[in-house]
Amino acid sequence: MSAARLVRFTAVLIVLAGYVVVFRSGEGRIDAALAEGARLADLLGADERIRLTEPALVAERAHLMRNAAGPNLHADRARLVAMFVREAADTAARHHTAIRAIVASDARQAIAATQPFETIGLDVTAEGRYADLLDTLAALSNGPVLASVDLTAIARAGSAATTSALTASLHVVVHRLSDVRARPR
Amino acid sequence: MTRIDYAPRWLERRLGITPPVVAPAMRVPIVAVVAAVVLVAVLWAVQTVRLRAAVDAGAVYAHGVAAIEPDVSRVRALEADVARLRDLGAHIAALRRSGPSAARTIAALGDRMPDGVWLSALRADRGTLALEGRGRRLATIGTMLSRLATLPGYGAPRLVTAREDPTRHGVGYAIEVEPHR
Repeated sequence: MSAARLVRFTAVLIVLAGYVVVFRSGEGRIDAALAEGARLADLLGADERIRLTEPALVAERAHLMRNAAGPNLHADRARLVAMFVREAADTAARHHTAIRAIVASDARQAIAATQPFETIGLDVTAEGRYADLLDTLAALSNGPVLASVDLTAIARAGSAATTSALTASLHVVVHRLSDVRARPR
Repeated sequence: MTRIDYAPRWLERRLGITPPVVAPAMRVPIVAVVAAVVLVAVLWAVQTVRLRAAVDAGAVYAHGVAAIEPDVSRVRALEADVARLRDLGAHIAALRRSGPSAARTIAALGDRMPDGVWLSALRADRGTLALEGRGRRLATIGTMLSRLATLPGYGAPRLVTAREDPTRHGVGYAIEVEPHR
């Protein structure tokens, strides 16, 4: 091979080496850097959108806290039961019915109590006219003490078939928040 | 004709360097080598500038992400708090609805009692309603059964007994209604 051809071959080798070493490897690194930049840009965009939701979340939290602050969820068991008994008596008087008995029982209920709730079961016997008993039943779960109310039985009061008074047996489950951390802050 | 350049070259005049004499056949290959080196150098410079620009842009975004991170953490904690309060609110609302819901069921049951049928006892056990009472005639018990089939949230009623009561001039009945599962 002549010297001129060798030099020309060297020039071609330099161009090829430049393509492989400088261009191809450089493109790989640039692509990786661009991809990382795009990922970070997306992350930044998502974070910006999350930050923009803060005012709405603050407003919703305030609204939810006002709702959760309605019933008394924090008193101890004895105080809650005392409050419920007073409330049941007032409700019965308001709706012209009479509470004949309140007996402690197991807390069985249709609506499962999830953590962090603690439940107290009570069997309540109320007496009154049909419509008044229904009003009492509806009102008992809307008092200052959070309680679910299920009807267990309803029957005529006494043995006289002509009497319009009915006796309703209700199963009441009083709820309180046992976990301090779960209380609205 | 052969041309001879007798004037000294610029490098010889100024710097006293005598450049090597390149054979005419070697000039083009050498220019090609120099051009190849220049091309690769330019390519390297361009790639370096592009890489630096890409890395700098990524660094700007990374700085932005780091700067916003405390705000995002605060919003995440707020989201968790709101989710917990939503669950609490939903549970409270479900409990609040239990009394009116039971009252509505009993009222709907009463609305479906035809004339001439009386309810003397109703028991609820795990959602199943057991009704006992009397009717003037057997046909009214049938009417009641068909009406009870439309009770919201409950399936078809099941007649347990319907028995004539000669002492009280009527028909005693027992019916069960199960909730939809």
